[in-house]
Amino acid sequence: MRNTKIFLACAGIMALGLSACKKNFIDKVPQSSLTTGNFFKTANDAETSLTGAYAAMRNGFYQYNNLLFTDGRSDNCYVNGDDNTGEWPLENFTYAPSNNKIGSEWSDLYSMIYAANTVIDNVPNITDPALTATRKNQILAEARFLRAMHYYWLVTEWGPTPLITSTNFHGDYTPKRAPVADVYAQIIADLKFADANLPATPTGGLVGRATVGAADALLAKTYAQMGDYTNCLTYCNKVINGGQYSLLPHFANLWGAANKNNAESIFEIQSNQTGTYYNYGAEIFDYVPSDNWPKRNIGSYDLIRAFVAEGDTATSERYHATFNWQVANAAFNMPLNAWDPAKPIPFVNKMPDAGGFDSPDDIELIRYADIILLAAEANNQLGNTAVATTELNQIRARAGVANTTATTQSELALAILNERRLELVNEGQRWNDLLRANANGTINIITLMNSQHDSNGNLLKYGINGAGVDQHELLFPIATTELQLNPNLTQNPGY
Amino acid sequence: MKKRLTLIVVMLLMGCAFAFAQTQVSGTVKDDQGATLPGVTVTIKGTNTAVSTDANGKYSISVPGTGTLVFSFIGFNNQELPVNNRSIIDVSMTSGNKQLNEVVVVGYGTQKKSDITSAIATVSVKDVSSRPIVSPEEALIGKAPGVQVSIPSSEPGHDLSVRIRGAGSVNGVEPLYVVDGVITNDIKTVDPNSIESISILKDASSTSIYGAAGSTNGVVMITTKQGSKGRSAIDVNFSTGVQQISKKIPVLDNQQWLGLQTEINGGTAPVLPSYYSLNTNNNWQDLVYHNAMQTDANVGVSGGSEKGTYYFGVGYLNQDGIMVGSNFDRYSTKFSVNQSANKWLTVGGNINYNRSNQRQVPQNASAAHGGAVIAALVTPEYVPVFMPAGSPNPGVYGYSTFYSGDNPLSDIYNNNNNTIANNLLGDAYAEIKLPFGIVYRSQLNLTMENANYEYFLDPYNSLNGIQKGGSATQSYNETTRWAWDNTLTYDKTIGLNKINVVVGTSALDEKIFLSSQTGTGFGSSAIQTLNGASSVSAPYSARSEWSTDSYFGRATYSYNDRYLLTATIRTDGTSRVGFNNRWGTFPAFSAGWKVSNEDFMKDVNWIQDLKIRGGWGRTGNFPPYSLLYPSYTPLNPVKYPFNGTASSTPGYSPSGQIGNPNLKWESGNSTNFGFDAGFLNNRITLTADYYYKKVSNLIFPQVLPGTTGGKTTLVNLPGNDVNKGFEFSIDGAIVRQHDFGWDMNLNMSFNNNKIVGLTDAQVYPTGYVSLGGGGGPPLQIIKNGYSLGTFWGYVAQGVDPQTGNEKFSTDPTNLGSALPKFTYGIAENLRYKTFSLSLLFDGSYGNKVYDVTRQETDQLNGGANESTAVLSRWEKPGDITSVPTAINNGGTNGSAINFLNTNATSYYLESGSFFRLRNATLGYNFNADLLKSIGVQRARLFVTGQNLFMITKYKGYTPDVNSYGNGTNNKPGNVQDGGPTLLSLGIDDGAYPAARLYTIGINVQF
Repeated sequence: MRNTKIFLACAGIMALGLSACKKNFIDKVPQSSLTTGNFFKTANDAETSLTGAYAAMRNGFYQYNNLLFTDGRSDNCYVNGDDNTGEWPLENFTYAPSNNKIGSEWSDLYSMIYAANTVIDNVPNITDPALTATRKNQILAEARFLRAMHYYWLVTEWGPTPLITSTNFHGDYTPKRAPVADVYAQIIADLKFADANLPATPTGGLVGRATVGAADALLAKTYAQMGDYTNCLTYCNKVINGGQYSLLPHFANLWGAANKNNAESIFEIQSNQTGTYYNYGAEIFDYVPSDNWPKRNIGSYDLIRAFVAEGDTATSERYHATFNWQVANAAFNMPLNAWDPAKPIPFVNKMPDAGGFDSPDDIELIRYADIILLAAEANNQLGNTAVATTELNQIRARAGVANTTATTQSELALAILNERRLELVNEGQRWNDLLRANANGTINIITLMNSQHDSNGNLLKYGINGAGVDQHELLFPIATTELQLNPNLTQNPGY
Repeated sequence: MKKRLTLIVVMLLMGCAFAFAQTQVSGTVKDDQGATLPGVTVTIKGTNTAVSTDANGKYSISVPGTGTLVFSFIGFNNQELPVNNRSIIDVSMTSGNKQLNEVVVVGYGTQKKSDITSAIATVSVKDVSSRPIVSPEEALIGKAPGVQVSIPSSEPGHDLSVRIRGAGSVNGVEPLYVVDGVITNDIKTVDPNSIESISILKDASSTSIYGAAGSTNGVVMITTKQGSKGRSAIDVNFSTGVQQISKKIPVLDNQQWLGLQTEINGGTAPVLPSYYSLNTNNNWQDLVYHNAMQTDANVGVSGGSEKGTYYFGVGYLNQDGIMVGSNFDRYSTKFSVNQSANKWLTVGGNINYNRSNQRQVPQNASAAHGGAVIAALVTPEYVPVFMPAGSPNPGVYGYSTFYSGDNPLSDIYNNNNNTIANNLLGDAYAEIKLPFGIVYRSQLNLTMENANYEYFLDPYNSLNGIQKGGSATQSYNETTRWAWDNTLTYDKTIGLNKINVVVGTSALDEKIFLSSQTGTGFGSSAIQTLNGASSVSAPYSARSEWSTDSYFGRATYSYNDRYLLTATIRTDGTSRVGFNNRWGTFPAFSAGWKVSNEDFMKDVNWIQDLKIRGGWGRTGNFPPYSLLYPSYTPLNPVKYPFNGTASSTPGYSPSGQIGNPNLKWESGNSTNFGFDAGFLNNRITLTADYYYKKVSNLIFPQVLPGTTGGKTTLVNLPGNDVNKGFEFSIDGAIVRQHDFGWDMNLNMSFNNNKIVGLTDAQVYPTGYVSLGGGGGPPLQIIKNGYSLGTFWGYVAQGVDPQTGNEKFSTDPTNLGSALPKFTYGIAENLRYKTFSLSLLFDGSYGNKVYDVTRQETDQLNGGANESTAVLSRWEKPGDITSVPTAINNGGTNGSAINFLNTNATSYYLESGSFFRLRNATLGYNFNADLLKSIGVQRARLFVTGQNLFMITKYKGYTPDVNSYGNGTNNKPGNVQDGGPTLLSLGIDDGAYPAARLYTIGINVQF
């Protein structure tokens, strides 16, 4: 009898031993370092992680390298500089899968996507009542706007790209490339969510946050890149008719630390001299008397001629705000010495305050003039030439140049393309403008890039061995290191 | 139920009935040579009643006339003799079969050695108290096949390193330790004098019952001393001795230094500042190394009654280092008690506690980084101990103006490195006898280790101290671990069938606390704590915790003492791995066949024992301590200036090291085949094993594809770490006479290690060193197709007689491995009358050591002193020599010398093979009758010599070193956010030299 009791007692203790080891006994989270395991509890955590996703944008892509990829690669600027393995090939159309810039920026974009995905994955699980449903959706919408913007660049510069929409890889670090249509569909879905949830003015008055205007502007730009001008126009008009933005009377007032977040700004990366190398792009491009190294993205001879052709030079605010003509105080490396090294050359000057690798200038990503011109382009493509002409002339008038003389749809298409070129120098737009114009037949991008000249009238010999730009170079290659790390990736054709 | 109760009552009454028919039995117990045996346990079979034989081998016990007496003594066969109403029973014990009849401690139980079907080595610790052994690992040196103990540093108080069957992980190779059932990271808490037995579980069929707890590197089971029933004893051991450096490295005198410098300077002799004198001849090795005392004393009091036993031990060790200024002292205590509360309940427990104080001198670093071992070699002899009048800093420790580095006495005395540690390891248990022969045991385990480290750099007496304005650091770490084990054991013999089943659960939780802070700007050296600092920097404190939850079982079955089967299984859940892979199961099977018990072996009289064994099992290895929360991504503080204004909004952004919720433990599959045999009346016994151990899911820090954002994480790679090998141990009783005995043991272990299955892109450099005042190259590589510990660098191809430059291969390549091809141990035990002599040799063959020390002392460059090896340097075209030129003409010579001093090259790689007389002990046993008259049971006087000689081609102090890694980093004190420190082996970067030790001591038992 007593033995039975003992037996039962032991069985009881044994069971107790088991129940002490209930499921959460082996769930431990860090106690002394902030990680995804112990963060994301409060409304404040949601906000600070979103701030982290914004802060992640201050890397090399938006302030520096993407300007080489777009304005530098296109007919707008000479990449120039002293990086003959990473940057020169961007100018000369000799980039190979081993190009370190192309490899690192693909990774940079995904790093920003990871930061946005961290918000998108975790904020929905926060149950803090201080986080209202409205604000929760706004936070997710802001993060999804950021993610969409990063994918916009991935899909336009690399084509099909792995679609990573969560920080949980489920052990699969080697995704396949998703078709372009799937990537666009994800961008559109993210932006429509943003469009539905974001306010017209930034939450908490914290300018720099994505707003509904930013979402609509990026929707318009995305649809344009997809060739869907109907939807593009819809969202351009939503921005225009929203009344949130207006053209500044003076082009010169768009730039510099004193003019950040002006009435024309739709989305820009905020800067305020938080520390050296937070915002170093300006120093890379600006003429600085004390810097004795070659600056990037020198305005091309062809670009200057385009300004001259429009009479947009000596007296034009736009011309003067865009360029800073100086004699270079360092050797420069332009194709065929496109500019005479002894004479002044056109340094780009839209972020005029270099600040010693810590510029106070914001980085303009989307502004109203871009959307007006995009509306003009869409209207023209859809046959609304009259509206298109009006919108084009709105921009020309502000720049101080005469109304356009173009009348036919095809003349107007060229005129709008040219106007976008002059208006948006070194704002990261030209390459995608050319891709669109190439797609809708306005120009042939291959012919255009193979007909660039230096200031002496010599043909610039782009391409490997000077053989010319090839169709396959419209998309960047997938980096060799990435192909090694991820056997499921395929290379773009031609590389 | 009523029926059973009646039965119990009847049985109890019968027990009483027996008790009434007692007879007194006495007798003498002798060994097979006729010598009386004291201390033999005489038990009445089936009871707890026992007595021991006295100093003359006599016993007396009250026993039922129909009872049976069991005589047992370690190293002898048990004998069972029915009393048959006799009053005198004399017994002659036979020793022969000692190995096969031992009881061996295995996971959650014990097994008879003869019934074991896996690979388990037992190590005799009888000689521990009669040798100057200061740490438990030391007792394993040279003793067991498949077990390699190396001494990474001979600094007093330094941990030793144990490797079982090669290197079973890329993140650490130390085994798991289990002390009286308590799982622990290391055994510094255990006083070697309180160890009763050590068994080493080598293959997965024996270790898999510890599951994911790190047993791919084997398990060392330690049982501490308990009292014995009916016999009390007081053991007093004392030894004292002197240590001295076993080898010095010859260096240049002032004139030789001047000659070398003249060549380095292109023919111009360097001009010393006027306050130095070339007549100053400081032999720095003589100033740094001294004869150092070592004293070890301990007392153990043990005893027991029918109802319980106790052991109480205290110990004291004071070990001065052979380097002046280094010291280790330790106070230890050990208490254990076992008590039967009643017929069904036994309770007990153990407490091991020690407190140690260690003063370290800086080592394992170049002279420019403050390493005193290298500074003692490269400080020129003209450098004064203190700077003379007229120098820029008169009175401070001397330094050379020709190279950056203080003299070694400055490194030793201008700063203070003190660690006070408290270590506790204990357990408490209750054991309950249940019906049907089931035993329930519940054991609560606790380990607590804390260490308080204090560092002070004097602000005035050295150049370094003046520059920093003094510095102090205080850091504290504490690791607390509890575990609760509950087991049910069932043991039953039915006819020829023997069954033993253990099932249990275990829960374990460890908490780690670390803190540190540093202060600078000391105005005085009077206050050496942070209170004296004018500014405090980098304060830090952090807590971490991990846990496991386990379920396990083992069943053994034997039929007719011929066919043996064992099956074990363990299921572990742990927080140490990714949350998607929390649980894992570890099975194992093994079988044995006692061939010698078969009828057909009856007529084979030259083999007494033959057992063939084979087994397979799976084990695990936790991810490294450096990443305790592998699932989660750390978030870094960032700022974003919304509005573009000055007030930046704080935010958190994911770091570059991301979590991997799928991270698993490394898992090892191992297969073992072996046999145990006894020949010629078991005077020769042989154990041999072949094993194949394949560890998969290797954990590496991996740079992930760019689609993750270029992050790094810990991943399980599909490659394998394969160890295969063969090992054997032969024991022979060569002479067994009454007055003269000679036993010997030879054990050898051959192991081959290889990493397979990694891709060519998965290459992991490791073993980074700091050369001179800067950084340095990785010396080793983990790479597909190569052994762990592979040195990777340029092959030095000899000196070009025309230019004097060393020639090198164009590409770095495999230079050899730090893992030996084989290791061996030889023990000789001789006894003549009352004298005994034991010799223990050990050795290693085929391993390479990278002599970073020589890369500092033979660099043919810079203003430091160098070894006399450079005297044979190339000086003019046509010279045939193995030492390159020192002439630095800035052209090819300069770049060749620079190449030699900044790369991993075979020029500094040396053979680490050695053969060593680890220990020689001469003992004298005092006459037992004489002792009895003064109340002493036994007394023994001994002298020992340790490291008396070593045969090696190694040019440094000792090849048995390892300045970095070896998995000793994989401990709670190294918890941090970051990747693991991959294994690096066999690097001598100014490691503390080995000492030769002479001691005299006495063991007395009252």
